[in-house]
Amino acid sequence: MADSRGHLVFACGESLYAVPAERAQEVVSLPPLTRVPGAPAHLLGVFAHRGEVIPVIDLAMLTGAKVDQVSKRAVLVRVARGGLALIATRVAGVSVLTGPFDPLGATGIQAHLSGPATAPAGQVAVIEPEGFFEFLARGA
Amino acid sequence: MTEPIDQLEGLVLCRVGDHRIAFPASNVEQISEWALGDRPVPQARAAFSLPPANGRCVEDGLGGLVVDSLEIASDPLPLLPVPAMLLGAVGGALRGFVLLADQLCPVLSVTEFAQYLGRSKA
Repeated sequence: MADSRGHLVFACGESLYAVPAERAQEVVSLPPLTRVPGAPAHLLGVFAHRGEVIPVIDLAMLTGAKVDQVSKRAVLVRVARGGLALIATRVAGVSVLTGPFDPLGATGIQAHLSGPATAPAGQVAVIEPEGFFEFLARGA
Repeated sequence: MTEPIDQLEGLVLCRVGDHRIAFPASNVEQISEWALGDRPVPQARAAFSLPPANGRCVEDGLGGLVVDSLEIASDPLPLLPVPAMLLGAVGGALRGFVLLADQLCPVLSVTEFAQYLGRSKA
């Protein structure tokens, strides 16, 4: 099964992720971040971008994957309620993915990731932006 | 671009380790010295996983907390709104952010931040 929508594929740590291209606003270079008091480790901090405060999320920390690279780049994702930046150690570009697009789990962050889909860069976990955002908002 | 929701007239800018936090000056009723061994007061350092240290106790009428050091900023500053993802963060104590030397600084309610720190300790 193919999803004809383009997805922006990027790496965070050793894993590849994809977000629908229409939700990927831009790839940004991160300035020094401001920590939010009491924030979980995966919420690296916030920065100001065009007058808006943007939270920065490390997917590798969020999913419990090995964190061995520090990146100063992030994919800015836009959903109806706001924006968030996802740390990207590498950006592979926009691709059409082929399925499966099954949820990777029933609970937690895995419920908002699907796949493993296939992109030219390799197997990717596809982020469902709205649910992903709401999940993070509940836990921030 | 998101427009600032408010203009803050006076801030108590606080150092907590390498971090900065701020409280609206109108929210602060008393500032006093605090040292290890004094009466127990929630420590802002706990929110950054730092051990307790001597500092200044910032209080409003309902609660207080200890920060490392502080200064008063009287210039009006635009308050940037809390992003939707963080509306529930810090126990709802976040009031917004101000930009200081191109870096964001979280603005918090003294009472709610103190309550949050008290709950986190428990």
